[in-house]
Amino acid sequence: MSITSLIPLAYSLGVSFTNLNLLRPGQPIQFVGLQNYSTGIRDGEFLTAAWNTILIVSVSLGLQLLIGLMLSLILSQERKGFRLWQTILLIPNIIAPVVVGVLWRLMFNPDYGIFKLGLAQIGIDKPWLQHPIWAKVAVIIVETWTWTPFVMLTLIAGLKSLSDTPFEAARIDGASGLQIFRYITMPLLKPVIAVTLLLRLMDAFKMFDSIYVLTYGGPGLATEVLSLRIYKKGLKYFDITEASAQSWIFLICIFVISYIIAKKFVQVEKRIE
Amino acid sequence: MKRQIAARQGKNYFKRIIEYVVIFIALSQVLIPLFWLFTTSLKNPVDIFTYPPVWIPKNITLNHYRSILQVNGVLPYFINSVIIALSSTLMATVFGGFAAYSLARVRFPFKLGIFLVYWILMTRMYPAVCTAIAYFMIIQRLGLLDTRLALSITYTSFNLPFVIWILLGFFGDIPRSIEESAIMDGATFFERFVRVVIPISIPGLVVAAVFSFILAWNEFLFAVILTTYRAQTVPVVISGFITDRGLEWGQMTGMGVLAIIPVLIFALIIQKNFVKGLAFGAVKE
Repeated sequence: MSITSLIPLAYSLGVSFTNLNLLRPGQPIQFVGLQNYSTGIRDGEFLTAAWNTILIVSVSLGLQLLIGLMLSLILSQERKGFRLWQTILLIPNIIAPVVVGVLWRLMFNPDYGIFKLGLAQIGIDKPWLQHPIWAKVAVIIVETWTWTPFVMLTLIAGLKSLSDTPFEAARIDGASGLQIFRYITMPLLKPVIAVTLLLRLMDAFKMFDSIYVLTYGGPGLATEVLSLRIYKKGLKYFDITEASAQSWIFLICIFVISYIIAKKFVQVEKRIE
Repeated sequence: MKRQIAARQGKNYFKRIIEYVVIFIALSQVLIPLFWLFTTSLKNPVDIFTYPPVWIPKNITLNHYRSILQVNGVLPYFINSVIIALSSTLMATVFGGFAAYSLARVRFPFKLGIFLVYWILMTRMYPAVCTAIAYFMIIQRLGLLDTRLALSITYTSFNLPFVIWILLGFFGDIPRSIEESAIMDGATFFERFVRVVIPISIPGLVVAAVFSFILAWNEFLFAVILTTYRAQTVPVVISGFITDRGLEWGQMTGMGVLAIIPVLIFALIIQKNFVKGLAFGAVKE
């Protein structure tokens, strides 16, 4: 743990304050203060990637929660066959993201992909991965496909752990299904939804593999996300000082967002006791 | 009154039908792409490049699999993946097992559960790419670039917190009386662990091991950074098919199928406990 995360983190923090250049090994290393941070945060490609990340994460997370909640409400009932179906629905979440990328690249193909088949008939025939806007839509679809099962799963577990008493009481009082959902299920489920959201948010910001295969950030910078941007900057162009500075900016943003959500909705300690 | 009951029953049937329709749509969303992946890997190129698509190919060919295994020499990469995934799984389970057992049995002055949860959240929270650059340079210094060892170590450390977490739950459930009787019979700490605790907690060990394996098998970012040729794993090779060799769908999908199979088998083996592992920590049982 310390070898693989703490030392590299400290190292990248150190590097981010210097002018270390891997392509010119002889150059003396100097301390340059916050220069990398100031250029890094004004870097247009970085900002585009940040915007793309926020857009893709928020839209796909919303969809995941919506679909996941719907499926979990159905599948949390104890009925024959539901366990098997639940396992089948989990498949997208456990296969390699790289394979997910390949799979969807095949399906989105504008000439012979099956995604075209149904949609072309209702007039949506788009060059999915070649058009800047539709490529974003495609990435959102793939993210949703991959991660809805996870949301569904945690919500099912949450729903099953709720006690029956309030539901029975409401039923006896003659509450309708919708009322039960609105006034009992949702409030009781809120902490579980919050934890799910937190876990998903942390994972979503890391998305890398499937986009790498699906679009590699293209066309242009249309689907470039922060992980991919930092990867390219640091390990393709070897601009490691600025990449380190940008990864620290990225890290701090994630910590702040996670902290706010955790503080607001989740009492971590209470869940363990 | 009767009419009301009838109305309610009618409404119930209606609700059920909608529920099954929703599930049917969801299942097809999952299964159609996978079916497509599988059939494409068995199609002749003529059938791959046609529109409208051919659902069930008339002529099935195993040529893509043959060329994957023979012509392109992908086999060594599969061996890499298997070795790396198995070795890191073994290390994570063994070290994690010892760690979890001592944590479960030795009293600590601080609240261990909370510490562990924060640890897991931490490892889960920061984007791997933020450490990737520095990690790459460290591995380079150590002269371990493009070796299986580097990836094994990396994945072991990724998996350790999770393994400890899962096993703590299982070890905590073992009744103390069983261990106490072992102590009475004069067993040492280590004997107690190996002879008594491990046999009881095999289900937990299996869950932990399967999850470690899947993570190591699927991991891409560090695999692509730390390897160049010799130690490449399956995901890296699959991604390479796209960038280097144009779009050889037959072979690419074939690789995809081969990469999915072990994961599916493992998921089915531990179906019951699988849910517990995936939803870890999110919901208190």
